[in-house]
Amino acid sequence: MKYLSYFIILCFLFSSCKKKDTRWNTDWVAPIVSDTLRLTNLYNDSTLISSNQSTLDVDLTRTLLDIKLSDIIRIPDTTITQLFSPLFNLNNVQPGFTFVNSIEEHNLGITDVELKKIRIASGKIKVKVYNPLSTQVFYTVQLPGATKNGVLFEQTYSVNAGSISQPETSEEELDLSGYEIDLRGESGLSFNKLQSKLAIKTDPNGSTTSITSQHDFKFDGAISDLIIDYAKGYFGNQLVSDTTSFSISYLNNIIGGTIDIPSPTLKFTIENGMKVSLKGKVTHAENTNYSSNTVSLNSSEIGSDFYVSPATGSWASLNPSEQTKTFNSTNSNIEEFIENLGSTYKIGYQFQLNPWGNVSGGADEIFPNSRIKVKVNVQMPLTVGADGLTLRDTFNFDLKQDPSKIHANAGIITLNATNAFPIACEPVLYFMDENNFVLHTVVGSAQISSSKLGSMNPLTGLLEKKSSVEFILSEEVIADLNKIKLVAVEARFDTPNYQSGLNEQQSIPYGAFLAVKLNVKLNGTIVY
Amino acid sequence: MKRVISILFLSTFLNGFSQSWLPINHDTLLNRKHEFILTGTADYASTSLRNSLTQKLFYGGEITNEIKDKSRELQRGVNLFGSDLNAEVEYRNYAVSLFKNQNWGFVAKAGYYSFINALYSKDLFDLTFYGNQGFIGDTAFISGTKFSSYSFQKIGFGWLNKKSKSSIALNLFNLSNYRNASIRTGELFQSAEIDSLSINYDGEASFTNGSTFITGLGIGIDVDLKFSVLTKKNKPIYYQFLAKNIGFASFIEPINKYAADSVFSFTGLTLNQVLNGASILDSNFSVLDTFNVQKTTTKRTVFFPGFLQFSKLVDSNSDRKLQEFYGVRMFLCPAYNPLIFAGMDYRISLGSNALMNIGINGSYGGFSRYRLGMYSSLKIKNWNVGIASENILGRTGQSLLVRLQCAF
Repeated sequence: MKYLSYFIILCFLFSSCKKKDTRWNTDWVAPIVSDTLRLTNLYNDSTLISSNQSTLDVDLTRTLLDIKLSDIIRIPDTTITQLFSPLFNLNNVQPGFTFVNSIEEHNLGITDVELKKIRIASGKIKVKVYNPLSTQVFYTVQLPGATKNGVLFEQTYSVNAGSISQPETSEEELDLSGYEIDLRGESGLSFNKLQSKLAIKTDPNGSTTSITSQHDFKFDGAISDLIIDYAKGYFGNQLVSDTTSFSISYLNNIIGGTIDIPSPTLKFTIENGMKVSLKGKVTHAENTNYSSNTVSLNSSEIGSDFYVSPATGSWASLNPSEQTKTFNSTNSNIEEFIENLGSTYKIGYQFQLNPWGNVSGGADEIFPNSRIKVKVNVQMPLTVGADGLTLRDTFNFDLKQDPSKIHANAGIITLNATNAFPIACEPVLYFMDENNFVLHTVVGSAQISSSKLGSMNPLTGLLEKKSSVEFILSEEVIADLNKIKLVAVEARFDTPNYQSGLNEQQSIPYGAFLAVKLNVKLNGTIVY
Repeated sequence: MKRVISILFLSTFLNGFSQSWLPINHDTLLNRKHEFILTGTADYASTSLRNSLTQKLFYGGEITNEIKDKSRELQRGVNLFGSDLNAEVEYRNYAVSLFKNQNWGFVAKAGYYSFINALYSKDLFDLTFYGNQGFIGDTAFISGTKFSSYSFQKIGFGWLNKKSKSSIALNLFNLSNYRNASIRTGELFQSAEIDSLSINYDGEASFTNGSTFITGLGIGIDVDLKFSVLTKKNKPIYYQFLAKNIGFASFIEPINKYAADSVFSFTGLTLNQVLNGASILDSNFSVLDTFNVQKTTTKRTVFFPGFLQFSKLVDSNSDRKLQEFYGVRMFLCPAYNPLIFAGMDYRISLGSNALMNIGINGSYGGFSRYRLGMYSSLKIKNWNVGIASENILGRTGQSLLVRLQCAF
């Protein structure tokens, strides 16, 4: 028994022993990123062009404004009502008796615009008819002048018997898409007039009834959500004035330095695809850069009126008119404007239709493909001089590790680059906490050298320079991995002339690229 | 792994009983009614892992570069590791006449077994303990890697020949833990520029859910046949054929199985992928999908790593004090090479009721290569206690074997 007791005590003693963690260090390598940055991505939209397959030119075209018919003319929701009340009493009205109301005109409620004809792209009408008779009645609702493929808008409704105090109703919502509507009225000389006509027929199989002046035969047509894609008439001389803003967000990442570019040419092209005269002007243009420095485009062309003739042709043969305003170094401060590297742009404009009034006799036309467009176009050789131009971009980072499990201790991120751009770059990494406080700064061991220091690659015909940059992730950096929430990559760009040592403009060659291969070497501890 | 290590730890110090590694002192004249045999084994061995490393794996602590380097020196193209932990109690009844046969008794036994075997390449060792930095511009070959581990318990009952002491027992098994992995093809190429990583792999792994004690049930047999051959001098030489845990088990519930046969190439993410978070840092990243691993369940039959041994026994009744013993041993698992052993036993008389045997033996094969062992056993009246080590030099393994017999 004594021995058994010893044995049990020993069992407890050893049972209380827990194995310590086993740990050992290992060294791992792996590729992280392999990519090539090329300007060819921008070739497709004609941003960059090369006329000689040797150098590149910037040919940046962006549409700042695109106005179509629905932006100019909006037909408000409206309800037309036609009411027919007999002037005298009719007794013993036989089944199948028909009486027709005359055409009525309804104003669309548009001001300043005199529409003669429209085509509806989309919209609907909710028709509701009322029957005060004690027998079933057939209502035929017509919209004279409204046709679709040559067929007049006509709908017939059967409405059950009602009474004067509680007329029976029938209701239906109809699609008006594709209807062409003549808005000249019954006379053919008016405008903005929608016509309606009501025919009423008692039930041919019903009973004899009486119609008195107390009976109101009515229909309501609630027209809503009308969008038109064709209009003819006089569109007034309304003034459209606005300021359009856009941003080039990536330029927000610039935090210092300057660039030097060759003299650019900036063109504003106003394209008028509507058969209506147009007067306009660029009221102002300005941009604001990362340091809140705003530069306005100064030129005699700013604020001066220009006129654009009506488009010619019609429908598929429509041929827009154009007017171009050019800003270059001789008539503006365009170079200063561009070199400000603004990330936000504001451009003010003003347009007026029919500046001379209704000179077309109400024959203005806007077609489905009619647009008033303002396009901006920048042309210049892709030659850049960078002097300490510094960009910083910040990324979210969320990588956690537990020192009591498998974890990293230290590492080296190696950036192997082949650079065919005549631009040198010095990268720096900032590791920050959630409050943007910089915990660690890791400076690249070298710069990505400019291709000007490289040698000619006969296959590409480009000067290429290989560089290897190491970022040492010390034990201190890795130890703070759980605290790091943001990583900022900062890159300082220069375009040095290695003979003079000065930064100067460098022409970006056709096909230039930056091949990047990133790998990591990690020292880690295996724990189990 | 922690469980295995814990079991090893406890078994080594607590169970303290061994089974069949000590040379059997065969006493045909023993005439008792009952016999209890408690045996315990705590043995691990390797062709290429030094104890300094294995002990860190088992007991914890830091595996320094020096420890790794010393084991690395031993690594060959193919390397083996295995451990065998077990504790067994056996009761032999010579008093009854089974099936009314005067020569037949019965045997009842129960035991706990934990068995690990692994077959691996030098490159797998390097990958595990050094990482892949040593394979820059090179290929790491891990094809042919096999690993399996078992934890199971048994109870058995069987027939016993009172004269020859031979027995055959039918056992019922509970498989409590099972893990198996094999890599038919495994190649990992890391380019010299560290700009591409290519993994060619074809393999599978399956394992039980560790939270369930009873995951599979099985049957098997133990065979202990002893027989003699007469010499020219008309003296018997006793031999034993021993087979243990020859059986199989089927899983009660399907177990998870992961299989893959694919090539994974990685040359790095594009900048767009990095900026858009489409990387391994992304929470939607799936390792199984990325490596084209198919997860299924299986309910297959598992064969236990049965033990086979044929050996010449030490005759307790021989007039020779110095006797030789030898034999061959085998575990039914891929990582175990047939082991041959031979040794000498010396009997010392300590009076009329006490006897001591000491011995030394050498072996080659198994999970290791050459091993040198020693043992001693003491018999006092009805009791016989023995302790042994199959690996007294202990460079690449350790061994502790204990047996306690009591006959009355």
